[in-house]
Amino acid sequence: MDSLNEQFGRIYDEYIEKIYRFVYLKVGSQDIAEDITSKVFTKGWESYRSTNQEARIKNFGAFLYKSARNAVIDHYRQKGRTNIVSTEVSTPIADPEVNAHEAALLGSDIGVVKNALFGLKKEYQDVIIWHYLEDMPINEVARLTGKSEGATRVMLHRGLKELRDKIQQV
Amino acid sequence: MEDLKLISQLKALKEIRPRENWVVFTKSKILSTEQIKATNIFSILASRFYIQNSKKLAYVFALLLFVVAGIFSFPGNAPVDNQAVIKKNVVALSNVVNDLAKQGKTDSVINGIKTNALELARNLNANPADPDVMKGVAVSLKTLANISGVDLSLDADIENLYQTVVKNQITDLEKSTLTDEQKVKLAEIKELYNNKKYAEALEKILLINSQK
Repeated sequence: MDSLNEQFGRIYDEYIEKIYRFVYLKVGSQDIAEDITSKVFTKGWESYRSTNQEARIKNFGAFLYKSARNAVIDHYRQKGRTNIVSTEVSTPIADPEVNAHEAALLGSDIGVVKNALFGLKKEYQDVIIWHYLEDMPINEVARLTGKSEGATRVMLHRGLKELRDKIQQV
Repeated sequence: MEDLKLISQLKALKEIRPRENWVVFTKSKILSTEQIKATNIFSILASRFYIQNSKKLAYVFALLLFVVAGIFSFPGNAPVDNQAVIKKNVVALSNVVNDLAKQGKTDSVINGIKTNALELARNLNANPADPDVMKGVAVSLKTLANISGVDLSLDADIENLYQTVVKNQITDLEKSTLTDEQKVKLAEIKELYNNKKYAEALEKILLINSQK
């Protein structure tokens, strides 16, 4: 049987990019995204190895996403930026350590989408990222948000509309 | 904008990925917590560094310690997977330190090393470590010297650490099977050591190690 390290190593490999991307799109900074993602996985590892096999969290991806979402909320609380969501299109965040690839993104249509996504309400960000970026089915998104599938579809629809509006204002 | 086009652009955001170095380092750090904790010398130094320096610099030093601690944890017959992780982390250390060098932050890193170098040298002398541990320290010293452009062996605080590492590596080379050319180089290294030219000696040692 695989050791706990090997088991968690596979979970890490499967989710590290997804969780980083989720966090990055919500905080807009490579440094902060790395810091938060690292904490999410450290907490995940502590949780994984401290529970017995029967109780071990089955859907660990959902656990990581929830943990990441809470960590981002904590980050904004600490920074006193809980009211960052604006009705205006967000100004692109200047990240001094943005890598070359992301620098290219910022100047493209996709960069515009990224900045518009950053300016959405966090509930809309979550469902759009999970469903459209990470191809998560509606029922899983609903489970993560704690809402019904119907309500989740409505959120997706509204979120997409708001995103489109923001892009058109650019 | 049509929904389909918007969704297609959203999917393109999948191209956003974390830095490979960071991914490798973070995984190793998380899964090796116990190993690092078990290596007293390094954990003491790491905790001091965390207190004294900014988080980013602490990250570099923790990485350096991880490389050393990692090697320390798998002496001699390290499984292939672990050796690969260690190798990746040596590369990651070099890359991260180089990133900091571009930002002009190496002075702080070196100051952190200096603060702990005497104690590290003392501990290594008192508890002779596996030659592979010394190789880890040697590579790290060389990396820092390269990116700082300073001969760290001339620094009074770091000189003892250099001396300890070079002496240990000479002893290790004496026990190894060397080619005639390497034997000549080893003689040169000993001369450099006797003349207290530790940085030059280390350069040649690393060269021989890379050919072994």
